[in-house]
Amino acid sequence: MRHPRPRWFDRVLRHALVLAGLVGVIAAVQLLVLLALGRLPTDEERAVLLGATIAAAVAALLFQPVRARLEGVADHVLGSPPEAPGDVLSALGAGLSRAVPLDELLLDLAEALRRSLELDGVEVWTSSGGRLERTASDPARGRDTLSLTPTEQSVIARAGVSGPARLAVWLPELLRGRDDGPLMTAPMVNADELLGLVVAQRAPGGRSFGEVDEHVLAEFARQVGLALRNVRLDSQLQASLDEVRRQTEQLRASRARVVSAADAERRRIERDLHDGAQQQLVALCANLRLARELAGSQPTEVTELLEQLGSDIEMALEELRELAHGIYPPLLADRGLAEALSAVAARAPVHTRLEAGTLGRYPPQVEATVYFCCLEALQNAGKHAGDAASATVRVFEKEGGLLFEVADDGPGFDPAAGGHGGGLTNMADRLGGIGGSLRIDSAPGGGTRIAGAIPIRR
Amino acid sequence: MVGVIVVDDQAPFRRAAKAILAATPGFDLVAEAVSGEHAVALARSLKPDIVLMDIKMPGIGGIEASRRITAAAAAPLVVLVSSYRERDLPADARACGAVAYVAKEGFGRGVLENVWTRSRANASARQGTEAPP
Repeated sequence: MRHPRPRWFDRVLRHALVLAGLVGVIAAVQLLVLLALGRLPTDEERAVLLGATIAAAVAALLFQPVRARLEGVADHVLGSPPEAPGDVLSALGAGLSRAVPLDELLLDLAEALRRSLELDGVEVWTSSGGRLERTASDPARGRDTLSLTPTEQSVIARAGVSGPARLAVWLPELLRGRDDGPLMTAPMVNADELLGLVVAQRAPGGRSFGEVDEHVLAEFARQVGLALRNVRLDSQLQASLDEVRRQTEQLRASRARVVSAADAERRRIERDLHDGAQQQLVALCANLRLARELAGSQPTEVTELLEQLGSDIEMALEELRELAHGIYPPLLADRGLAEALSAVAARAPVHTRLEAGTLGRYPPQVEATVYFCCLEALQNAGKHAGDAASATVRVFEKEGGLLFEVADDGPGFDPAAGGHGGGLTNMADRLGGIGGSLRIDSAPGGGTRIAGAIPIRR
Repeated sequence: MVGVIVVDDQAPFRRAAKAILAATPGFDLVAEAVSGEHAVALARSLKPDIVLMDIKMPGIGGIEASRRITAAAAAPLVVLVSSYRERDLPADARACGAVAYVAKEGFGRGVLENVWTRSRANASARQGTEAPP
């Protein structure tokens, strides 16, 4: 078994061999000079020979570093030599990390590939939605698109590096209008999906493609394909992030509206209680005290007063009932949607027909949402549809959801025009709060249909 | 007769106050008002002795109306009335020039007579000290 030699040992050995070789070459040259001379050198000649030998040795030792320096100067004066394929791809990595626009980057890469393989034309086609598009070309050829069937896409994705013969069968449009110089394509693929195509071309009579060209082209397509995939993932991620951000903002706004609607509702209830029943009761108290004070001395006045108080109490009671009903209709709590809505339909401001069939019971927030949305929609109809209008309320279950719609044959409105009050926004927020959605169909002259859907779990 | 103005935007208390005043000898309802602004104008023109002032009304409300009414010379007595509990009253209810606060349900003949006799007694006591013997 051989032990691997240490690295430093290799390096010393290599230097020693090079030095020995150089010494050998110099010695051999000296020997040739002696042979040409045909005799031993004189003292004078020996001094010249020694000088020449030293000069040769110095030149040999300095050759390597001086050559590198001189090539640098020549590059600077004459321009860089063609890039090696490896350099093309390292430029790709740098470009992507600097967030250069994709098209520009592809153009740079196409140009680098063209110079590296001494091509006359390079095109990068990118694929999306069944179409290939010429995204970058050097020299510039402008944009162009080709349609591909799914079969064509998958054949091209699997084809690997291909020449004109295969293209003539699978992608004849790509060859159309081209001269017949050497041509080669390589697909850019990720997980069997065709991401694009690299086309490399030489002018008619140009060098035909060899094994190295093919290898470089395939590697180029592979690397660019990876980059394309990353860019696409990036933009998909960005799109989903934007969507999430948009939904969050909507949710925040709707939550804020729900909170302020709840606050407004509480203020309304406080005001109704204070201005209504409470005032009646307060007055009753004061009147009762008066009745007590008058009881002994003025019985006739007291009887009148007590009668007045009786009807005041009835009024106060009715106001309280009305208020409680507005907060949560007792019929809805006791009997559910069908009965509560039929009571609503009976005293709706427009003639209303109810189709609620045999509805079961649902969670309170679902029933309350449907009830108040229908109530609001009917109140809107009463306000806007006119006295002659009629409305239909339908509530039914369909595909795991409870659906309702309130349709009227009034004048309708343009839902896109905006400014139709907070009622519709309230409905949408209320529905959104329990995972439902609202849909408004209306057009001037075409009636109004307000429909909502709430997912229900059984 | 002691002239009284009742100020309230709600009818039930105005009706009750009217009945109570009608049954209280020596007191007379001279006008009803439904806002603070209305009350300030009536107090100026009718020169009542007592204003029964509700606190919460649209417009300037009872507190500001009391301030304006009591700022005038020879101003009437202002009695604040409200259906709120005392702890729910605004802080400036105490400093608006009103002589008393009465819950609406506690209002009655006794309140009127009490307020009137006490303020008369104070006024004559003040006059007594101010006048040279």
